[in-house]
Amino acid sequence: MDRRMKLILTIVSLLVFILLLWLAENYMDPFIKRIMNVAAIYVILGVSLNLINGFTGQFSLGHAGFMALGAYASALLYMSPALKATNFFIEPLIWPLSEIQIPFFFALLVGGAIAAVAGFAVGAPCLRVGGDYLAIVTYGFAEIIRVILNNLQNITNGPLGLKGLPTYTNLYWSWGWALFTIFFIKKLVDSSYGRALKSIREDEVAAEAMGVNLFKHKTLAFVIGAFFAGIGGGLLGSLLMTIDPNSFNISLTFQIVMIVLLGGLGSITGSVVMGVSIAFLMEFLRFVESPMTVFGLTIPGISGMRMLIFALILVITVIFFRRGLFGQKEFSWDWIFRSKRRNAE
Amino acid sequence: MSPDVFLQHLVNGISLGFIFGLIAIGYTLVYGVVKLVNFAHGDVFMMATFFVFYGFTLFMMPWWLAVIFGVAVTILLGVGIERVAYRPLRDAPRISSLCAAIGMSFLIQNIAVVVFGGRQKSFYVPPSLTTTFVIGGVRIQAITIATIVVSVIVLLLLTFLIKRTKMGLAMRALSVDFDTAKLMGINVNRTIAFTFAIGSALAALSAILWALRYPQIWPFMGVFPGWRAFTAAIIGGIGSIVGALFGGFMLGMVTILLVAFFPEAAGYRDAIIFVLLVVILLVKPTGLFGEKKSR
Amino acid sequence: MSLLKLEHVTKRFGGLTAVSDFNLDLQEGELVGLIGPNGAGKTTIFNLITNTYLVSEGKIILGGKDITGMKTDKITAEGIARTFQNIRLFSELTAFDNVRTACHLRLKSSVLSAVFGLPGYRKEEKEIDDKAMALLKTLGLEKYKNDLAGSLPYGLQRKLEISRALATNPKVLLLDEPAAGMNPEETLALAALILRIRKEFNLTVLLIEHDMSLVMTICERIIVLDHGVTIAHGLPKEIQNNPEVITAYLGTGDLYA
Repeated sequence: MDRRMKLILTIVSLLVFILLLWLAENYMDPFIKRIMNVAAIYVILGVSLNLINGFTGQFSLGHAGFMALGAYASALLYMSPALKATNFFIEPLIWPLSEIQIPFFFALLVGGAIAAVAGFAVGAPCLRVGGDYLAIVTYGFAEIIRVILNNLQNITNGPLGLKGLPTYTNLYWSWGWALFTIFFIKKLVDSSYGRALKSIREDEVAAEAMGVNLFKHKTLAFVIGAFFAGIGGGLLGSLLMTIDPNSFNISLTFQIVMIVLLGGLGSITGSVVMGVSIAFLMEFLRFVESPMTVFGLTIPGISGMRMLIFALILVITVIFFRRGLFGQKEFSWDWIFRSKRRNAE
Repeated sequence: MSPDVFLQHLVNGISLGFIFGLIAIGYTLVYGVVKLVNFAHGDVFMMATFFVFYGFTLFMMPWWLAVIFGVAVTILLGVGIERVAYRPLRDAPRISSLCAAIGMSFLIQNIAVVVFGGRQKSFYVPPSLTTTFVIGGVRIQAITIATIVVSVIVLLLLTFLIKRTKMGLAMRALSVDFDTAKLMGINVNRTIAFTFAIGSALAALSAILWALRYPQIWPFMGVFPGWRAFTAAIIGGIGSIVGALFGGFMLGMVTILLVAFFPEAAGYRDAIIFVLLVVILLVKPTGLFGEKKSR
Repeated sequence: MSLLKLEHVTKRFGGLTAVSDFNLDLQEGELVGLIGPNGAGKTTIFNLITNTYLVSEGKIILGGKDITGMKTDKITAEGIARTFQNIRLFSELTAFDNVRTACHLRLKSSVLSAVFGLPGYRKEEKEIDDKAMALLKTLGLEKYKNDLAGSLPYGLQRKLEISRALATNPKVLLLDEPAAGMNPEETLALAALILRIRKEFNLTVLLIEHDMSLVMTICERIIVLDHGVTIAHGLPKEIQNNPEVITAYLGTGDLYA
């Protein structure tokens, strides 16, 4: 199939998708809409983590930290001064943050940018450190971020967090950013830079011997991954209407890691499919936590069962389906139309 | 700060340092032999406290028996985890084992939530251990002394085990050169299982010492000490038992003394510890006592 | 013209001296062999040239420029490429991508222009594609373009490593046991290949080999290493009859000429 045909197919699908978004935004049940928003955010988080962990092979456990920075930075910028005053009743928010208010889109961008800077600050020193340690050190950085956010009463409102955030996140914003994330990272990964990143994953020593600057490319992955994590965090904050430092913990990072592992380290398609699936599955599985009647027997709901099931799926996948659902394969139009062509011949 | 108070903090710091050290040694032993960061170590730690708890409350064992029961079951758990999750992935790329370890940690935490419930439970502390001695103006709790005594005994036993037994030799051989050791006829599976058994035993013992000190147990209690201890192991140089102990001490000291001297910094304690970790790793990537690798 | 010079290069690992006072003056266009029993320090010397290991003593000079201690990727950019004793291809990448990756260091376009497909980047990408295809063709690998490197048979993997190294536009090519595992026919073909690419790409070649037929056939000069020490150097004929060399390889006892 030639390039033009593929481009046309992609554009058409995009338009259809936008139409569906419009329909959903206006006519769908708010409960489902919320899940769809969460799904988009999971996609952003999963694909961005996949860039670092899957494509570049750097096992980072710091994603929650980047999300937190994005969430806080953007919230502090799009909240109205009045809302900020209400929140910061223990200690007032410092100037100029107390007076600033900028539109949601720009607030998100700043959030992403701050997260990106953190991505550089985290990535740069860590990269001297071996692969196994990287997980610990990145986790450490996420914890440092969390602790700092928890303590800066006059900037973040400390453990109380920020409440009553306006809900700017809607299907257009969340899926718009999701599509952009997919586009950006896919193009990056398919480019020469992407090959450099993958070579680092495959064999660092050989990559360096072939002229790939390890530092530059590893930090590149971190910075871009962190940027989109910050965007995801910002979107999440506005969706949930409340953020606090302690919800951006290792469990949150684990959930994103789960999405990436289950979908396949190194498959954007996998992260997308898994991100959406898990968002829906999480809600769907709520039923195991409430009482249910099977064959006339009432089984009491067990709280925590949802996460247990996920953890079990994760462990089984890691041991038996190491490559996840998609391995390193990606969706392509060829794949869909291959059988059709074969029949036509 | 008066010298008495300082001494008190010092003793506390040493005591806590021993606990961190024991957990850290558990991590470092396993890493040395299989080159795997056992993320589930902290959760095995947590499970130990629950095993003792249920031995005491559910099975109505006398406390000392509950402890033995708890340690024994923890050892079975640790070895079981290795058998089920890590052994199949021994030849797989490193990242798979890392993921398996993370997955196991996740899984154990959530099993604990479902089976034990998420709420905190009170760990029974035998009255004899709650007495406070006053030595020269310093108030020292019996548990603090017990911690130090037990730790020293355990360390002596461990040193004997590693240096003087055949199994210890096998462990050391595997940690230095896995493939050659294999070829020399060492039973790899058995040695690794044994390593995990020791690591789990250490986790269990340190868990009990921890729970006697902070007698609230709940499914996520292993996260904090686990990661701190792992930090200690890395700071000391992963693979080095001395390093792990030293790292544990450093961390114990910092944890107690930092808050003692700078109470305002208390909230930042965790951050400071991690900053310490990063700085040390930047200066000496293999940790303080780690093997030097030529660049 | 002297292209690559190693002056009094020594490498110690703790108490062990792996390489001791190694000297080399590689002239442009030469094909020099580095031989010696296992563990003699040959690959260590390659690692020192590429700064995978830092020298304990000594200097490494490329075309008049002191490259001692320079970062490995910069050294490659300066014009030294290598293959590895135990093949280190990017196994999960295709043969095509393996070679294209080695072209990356010459890329001038920024990340953003790559992501958004700006014309400047598209042009460079096309040049990379063409160059990589040409290199695959030169080594007879164009059929395997889309095969995963790890799935290729051993002999082809070795050739792929060579074409990947060539993609970095090297002046000096370090080949580490390229004939390992090859039968006499393949070794002969390899010899012809090395001579051909030396001419075609204006290379200077330093070759580590155990296969004496290859070494004696194509090397213009040979250096012999044993336990890190240079025990002989000279023309192939001289080396063949050098008693110390023979001792190093075969041990003392009856001498076989």
